[in-house]
Parts: sequence; C-alpha cells; structure tokens
Amino acid sequence: MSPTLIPLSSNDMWILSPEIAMTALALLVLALDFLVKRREIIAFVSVFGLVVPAGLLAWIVSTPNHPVYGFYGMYTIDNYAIFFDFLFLLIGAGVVLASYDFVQRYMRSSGEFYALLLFSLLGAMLMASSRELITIYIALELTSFPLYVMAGMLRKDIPNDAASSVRSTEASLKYVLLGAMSSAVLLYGMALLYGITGSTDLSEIAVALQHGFSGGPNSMVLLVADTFIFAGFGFKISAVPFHMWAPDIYQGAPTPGTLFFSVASKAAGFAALIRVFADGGLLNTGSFYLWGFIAIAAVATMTLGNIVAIAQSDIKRMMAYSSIAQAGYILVGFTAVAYQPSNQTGISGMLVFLAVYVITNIGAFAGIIAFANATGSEQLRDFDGLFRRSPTLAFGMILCLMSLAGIPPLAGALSKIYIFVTAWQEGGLLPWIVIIALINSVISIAYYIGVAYRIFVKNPLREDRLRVSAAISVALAVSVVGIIAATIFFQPLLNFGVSGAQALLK
Amino acid sequence: MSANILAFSAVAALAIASGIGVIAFRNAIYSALSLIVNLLSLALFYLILNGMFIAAAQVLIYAGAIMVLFLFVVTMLSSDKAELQTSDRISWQRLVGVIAGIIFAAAASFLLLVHAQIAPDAAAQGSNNLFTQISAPGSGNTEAFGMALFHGFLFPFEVTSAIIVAAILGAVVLGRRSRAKSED
Repeated sequence: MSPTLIPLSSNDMWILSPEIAMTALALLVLALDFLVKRREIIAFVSVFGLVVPAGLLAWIVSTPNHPVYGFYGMYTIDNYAIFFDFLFLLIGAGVVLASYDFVQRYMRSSGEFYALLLFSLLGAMLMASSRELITIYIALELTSFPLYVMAGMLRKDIPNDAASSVRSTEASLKYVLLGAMSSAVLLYGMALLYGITGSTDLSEIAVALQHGFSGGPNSMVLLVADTFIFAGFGFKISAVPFHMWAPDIYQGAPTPGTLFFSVASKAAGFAALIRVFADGGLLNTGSFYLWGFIAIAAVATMTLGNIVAIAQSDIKRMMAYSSIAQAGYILVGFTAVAYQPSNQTGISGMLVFLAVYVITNIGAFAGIIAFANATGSEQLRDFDGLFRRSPTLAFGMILCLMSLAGIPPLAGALSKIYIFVTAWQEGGLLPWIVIIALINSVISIAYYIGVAYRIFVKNPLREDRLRVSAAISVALAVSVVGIIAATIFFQPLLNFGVSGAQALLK
Repeated sequence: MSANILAFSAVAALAIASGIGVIAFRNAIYSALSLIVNLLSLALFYLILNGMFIAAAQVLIYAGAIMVLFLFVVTMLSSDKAELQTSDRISWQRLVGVIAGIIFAAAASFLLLVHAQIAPDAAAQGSNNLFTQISAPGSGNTEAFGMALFHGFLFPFEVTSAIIVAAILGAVVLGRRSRAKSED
C-alpha cells in the first residue's frame, strides 16, 4: 500500500506561524536565561515576546479567506481556536507579570519558570487547534509536563509556613502521578473511540458515528469511550469526581504556579473537551446517559466546590474550591449543549464565561501573590484589615472576588446569567439544574463576602502599610480594567464567543 | 479464527498475570522483571494485530532499553541485600514461572509459525482520505508506519519534540533543585 503523497504547502506553515513563534519565544527565553542573568530582561522578553504570536494571529485573522485547515485536517485555526489562542496569550502576559517578584523571592530558577510557562501555553494553543485525537493527546501532555514541574519549583519556605517547600515537592509528585493516571484514562477512551470508528480524525469520527456505527447511541462501548474521555479532560478542568488533586496541589504549589494551573489548565481542558465532544459528534449521538453523566458532574462539581470552600482557612485552598465551583457553572453550559447539540448559545456562553473567569482569577491571584510577597502569609486570617494597610490592593482584590461571586453588574454576573438563561431555555430537566446553580451562587457569596468582610471590617493584626511592586500592580490593574471592559463591552465579547461557537457547529 | 482467540487469551492471561506481578511482588527487582514480561506480552499483542514494526520497537525500546534503566535504578537504590534474599523464598514462584514461560513460548512460537492473520475490522473502509488510508488497520508494516509517522502524522510527531524539550528542562530544574538543597 503506498498512498499518494500530498506535500505540505506554505499555507500549512502560515497558519501554524503563531505556534512556531511561541516555540521560538520559549527557546529564546531559555537561551536568555543562560546568557543574561538579568531577571528584568527575561521577564520583559517573555511578556513582550507574546506580541509576536498575537500579531501573527491577528494578521491571519484579518486576511480575508485565510486557510482554516492544515496538516491534513489535523490542525485548524477557526474562530474557536482563535478565541482560545488570544485567551492563552493573555494568560501568559498576566501570569508573567503577576509572578515577577514571587519568582525572585521564593523560586530561584526564574528563566526556566517563564520558559516552562511558554511551553505550556504552546501546548494549550495546540489543544484548542487540534482536530485529531493523537495531536490533542500530544498537545495535552505538552501542556501538562511544565505544570508538573512548576508545582515543585518552590525553593525557599514562605516565611510564615515552614513546611511549604516540602509541600511543594509533594504537590509536584502527586500531580505527576495523578496526571499520568488521567492521561491513561483519556487514552483508553480515545482508543475505544478509534476502535469504534476506525479513525482518529474528529470529523471522520463524527461521520462514522452518524452513519457507520451500528451500536446505537446507548451502546456500552460508546458510553465507556465518552465517559473515559470526559474523565480524562475532567481531571484537567477539575470537575467532581476528578477534582481530588486540585486543593492539595493548588495549596502546595508556588502561588504563581497555582494561578497558572487555575487558568491555563482549565481553559485548555475545556477547549479540548468541547472540541472533541462537539467536533467529534459525540454529543450528536443523542445518548441520554451521556447527558445524565455530564449533568450529574455539573451539579456535583458546583455544589461540592462551593460548600467545601466555605470551610477553608488557607486562601489558596479556598481559591481551589472556588475554581472547582466555577468549572461547575461552565459545565451547566455544557449540559445545555449536550441536551441540544446544535445549541450555539450554550457553547458561546461557556467560552465567554471562561474568558471572564480567566481575567478575574488572574486579578484575584495577583492580589494573593502581592500579599504573600509583602507579608509572607497565605492564611485567610492574615487578610484582616487589608483595606487599612493597602487600599488599592484591597479594592482590586474585592472587585475580582465580587465578579467571581457573580454580583451584578460585573462581567462575572453577566456571563453567569447568560449561561443560566441559555440552560433554562432548553427546558426538560435543565431548569432544575439552573435552580441548583442559583442556590450555589448564593452559597458562594458567603465565602467571597467572608474575604471582603475580613479585608474591610476587621481590625488588622499589624498596622504597617504593604508595598506592592510595579509588576503586580500592572497585573492587577490589567485584570481590573479587563473586568470593567468586559462588563461594558460584554456584547462584543459575546459576539466573539458566538463566532467561535459557530465555527465549531457548522 | 479460533486459533487467534486462543493465542489472544493466552497472551492476555500472561499480560494480566505479569501486570499483577508488577504490583504484587515485594521485591522491586521481581516487579521490574515481571514488567518486562508484561511489555513482551504487549509486543505479542501487536504481532497478533500484524503490527510487526511496533512489536519489534516495543521489544527493543521498552523491554530492552527502558527496562535496563529501570533495573539499574532498582539495583542502585536497593542496597539492602537481606531484603533481596528473603523474598526469594516464595514457594510457588518457580511453578508460576514455569507456567508463564510455557504460555509465553507457546504464544510466541504459535505466532512465528502460523503468522496469525486477523482480518481487521472494516470500519475504515470506503474512505479514500489519505489520512484514513495511512491510519487504516492492518497497515502495521514498517513502510506504512514510516509513512504515517513522517507524512500523515508528521504534525503530532514534530510537536513531540517540544514535549521532550519541556521535559528535559523540567528534569534539569527539579534535579538542580535537590542538589542545591543538599548543599545547604
């Protein structure tokens, strides 16, 4: 058998150019770390180097009739991928800025941290763009490997926490082992899907499931494949019951790493999850069991996340459960999509919610990192009276937390309402899920307000004013401006999300 | 076909037994050795599926190179010789070893002599897409494999290089960290 060879064209390289630029940037940062020991230059290059892939991306988008598929349909740069690519570049800039001082103080290999971060973002961009199971898996591993290392990069103990560097190593080891297990489960699901359909290409899988598969939507092998693939990605997005790793690893990892896990891993996981289930036609099989599984995961994720978050005394653990709960809200959107696969608003709601969540979480964690830099503590009780010690930091953090809690009129509330209304309109059992989600939103206000109460009302243990460095101020300011901009310009953001959803469901 | 099912069952039994052995043995060296058996039985699975090249690669890379590395590490770490000798007294060990050996030899010789041919599922029929042709079942010979790797699947293959760079970088970062700690 010798198939005719179709050579790669320059178009393939052109639409891959943002990723190529990203690889070059990661290698450049790595080389700079050996050549110049100046941290400012390395961080500067890491942030402003992101302009090159962003520019290439914008150039491709602005070219009319630009090629959408490349590498035999394995790689695509449709509007869905573009939405996520810009989101990942934003994450890169935000995390580098927010981590600048922390990396210097507590993590000595700063250049490597930025290089790993860029490699991970490269993998995340590929996850959003891949339309083929093997490529998605490879991209997933490229995203994950740097995360495992980041979790263990804390070299000096945080002053108020003597065991923190030991816990960092423990977090790294746990992350590797659990990550390997989730990869194995994901691969098992993919192998079953390949066994059923005879292809790893998502569009061919969709065709095979629609026409060539005799088992029917509720056949056991298809359900097992669905469930395993959902479980594999569910680990990345920390959906219950695959969330066990998140609190320990979020708490143990150095805080910039935690920030990166909570936004990059989650966004990349959702990017690939939605792509596989929508593009691969898994949702179109109309299986009630699949829908039920996703619905149960959504309800369990938000309920467990919110209830356990209330009891936390470490702010990073609280944010871990908060991020689990946020994943639950996004899964409510996914439940609506699974119920009605042609539901574009469901997917666009998920995309917009994810974008707002990312912007907000960067701000909230920038605040936590700034606080840890200044005081050496990450315990909730030490946040008492923060308002009197640093009003700007307090206001920035509170704005982010209020948006996470979904208090109107902030962007977090708008995106949440959008997802809930979309789900409500589907009818059937979905209004009940939305009611559970609303109850959860009310519960969640308890712990977000709890932090606000500590910051504004309680008396500080110490009166000294906190110094916040320029880089973190920029990160926090960008995030706050981002939230306000997303609130005012919610409609353009929504249009961007809708165009992404349309690309997926055409 | 029944001969194939027989071969499959024999290899599957071997794979499961050796898989249990990996976690059940108290001595790390025996675990490593049963992992070798496990990897070899996977190679036999690939042979049953007509994946000649993959089977050879599995033996060479996993059972050969990677497991040697495993054994090096295990022997270097377990300097406690008493531990190695006490666990040698499992009474049923030789019996199981003989049975597993017979199963393995039977399966291997069967495949070599009969050259098992399982008709691949016709799932991918009818598509003349290059991609499907390359990834079609039954195309496990070296030429098809090379074609898939360097043409149809060139893209994920190249992305793998980025993973390796990231993994080396991570190993350097974490490795240097532990050395710096011991100096403190």
